[in-house]
Amino acid sequence: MNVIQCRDVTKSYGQNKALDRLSFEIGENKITGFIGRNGAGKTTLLKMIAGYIKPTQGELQVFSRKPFNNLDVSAKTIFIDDNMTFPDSFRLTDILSEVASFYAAWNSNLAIALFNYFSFDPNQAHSNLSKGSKSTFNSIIGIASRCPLTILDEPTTGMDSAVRKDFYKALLKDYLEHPRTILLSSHLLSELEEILEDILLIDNGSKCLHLPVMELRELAVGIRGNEQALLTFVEGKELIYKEEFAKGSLYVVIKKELIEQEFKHVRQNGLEVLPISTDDLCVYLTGKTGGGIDDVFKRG
Amino acid sequence: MMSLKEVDLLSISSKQYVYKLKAYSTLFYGLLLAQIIALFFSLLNGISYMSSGNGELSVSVNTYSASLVIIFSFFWILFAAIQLTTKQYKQLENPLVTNSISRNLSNIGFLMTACVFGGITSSLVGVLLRIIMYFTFDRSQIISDEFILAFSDLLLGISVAILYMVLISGIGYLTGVLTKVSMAFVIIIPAVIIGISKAYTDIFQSLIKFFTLESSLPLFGLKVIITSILLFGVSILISNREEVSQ
Repeated sequence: MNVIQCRDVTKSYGQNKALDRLSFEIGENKITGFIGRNGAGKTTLLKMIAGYIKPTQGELQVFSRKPFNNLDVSAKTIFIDDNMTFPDSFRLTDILSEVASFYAAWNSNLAIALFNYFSFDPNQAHSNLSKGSKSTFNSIIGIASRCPLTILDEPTTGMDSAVRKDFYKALLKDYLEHPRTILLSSHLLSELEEILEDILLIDNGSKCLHLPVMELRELAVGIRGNEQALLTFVEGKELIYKEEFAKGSLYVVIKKELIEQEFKHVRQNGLEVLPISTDDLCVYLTGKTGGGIDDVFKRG
Repeated sequence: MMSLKEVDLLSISSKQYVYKLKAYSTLFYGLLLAQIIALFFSLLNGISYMSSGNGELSVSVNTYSASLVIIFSFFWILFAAIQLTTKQYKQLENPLVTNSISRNLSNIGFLMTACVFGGITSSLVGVLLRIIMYFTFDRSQIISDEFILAFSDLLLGISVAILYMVLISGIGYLTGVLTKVSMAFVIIIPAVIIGISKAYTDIFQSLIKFFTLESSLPLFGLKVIITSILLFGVSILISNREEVSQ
């Protein structure tokens, strides 16, 4: 069963299209990472799935219903981001107990255990928390609510690396015990690819890729070597990325399937094949063609 | 397989209502503060002062009334109703299970509670004013038929105050909702009100009289309730299609 079905969804704000004819499906109990550059439309898409905003065009279904303004979908969904606000009259522990009554599967033991583990002061007000602590606290709500659809929009903003690691571990452990559909958005793929099953790569409001992380790892390779030799080798093939990293030397990223039969030639030509991290690959896939930031400094 | 059981609108709305009563408790402190200030002003000089004399005999009369307390409470409920429609307050609901209708229903529930609370406290502050006067003023100088307030009159006062507050909260809520649709309403609404009151004085006055000159409490109640249902109903309809801002 598909939890999310998205068909040709467009969201425009005036002339500007935040999402452009986006189509994808997400199955039950998967952890999917929504990856994209700043302003790619990740948050817009997640908010739409959470029912906060409605699509301008196209059809979006969550649990087989339109999510906008739908109480049933809202009851099964939780949307966590760093804009969450809570009344100042509530202390942190009050928030946990008050929010609990809304979510059927809420686990207070887990919430309190995590709360104590991250050593929060029960009497503090939410608005006084630091950025990282706020994210941590909100994430506790996200995990403990055990909603069938848990959406975490940039959940690790401001967290230090120790807390990040703990958070991912906690999320994964609880997911394994209580499988549910989890959507995570981030622009830092490297740190969360361990826990992701699928990746939805968004570029400029459109879908760029939607595939399992395992396949993404095998998708492309980097080749480095003499400019002339490399250019003749890749001639006529579609390049994902090209960079001149030193005078006369070139680095290209290319889909593995395009050169599978020619691996021998690579070595013979004195070229070097390098693995490429998924993180870099996503940056290249969503980048503008050309040499990137270096080009800015080459002029003049 | 996840359950697809329907969520009950009323149970969610009442959960939100309870949440809001706890969450917005600061609004009630605001009311109490406003009433104490009003009481202080009322005691200080009375609301009007009249003095006359003919050389041999001089009379000065201070009129004391708790009406200032009621007026402050009316402003408070207007302010509270508009507040509930602001982005800041809406955001507080994002972490909860909610949709537009449950949000509005729980807001209305909260406002009705606030009206009852405001109506009762403002009337009781009127009693407090009398008690303070009774013990601090020279009793022989107090002239009033209504100084000793009959319990039935107190109840009547409370009911009327509550009903007025319900009406005002409905007006405030609709105003708030409209300004979320377009900020232009911030100017349009007062302009229309002032315009009608100047250009169509008779219609405007009969509208005011419709509520203020009603001598029968049940009839007044009915008028207020029907008008408020209309005001809140329109608010719900307007805000139903609106996206959640963050």
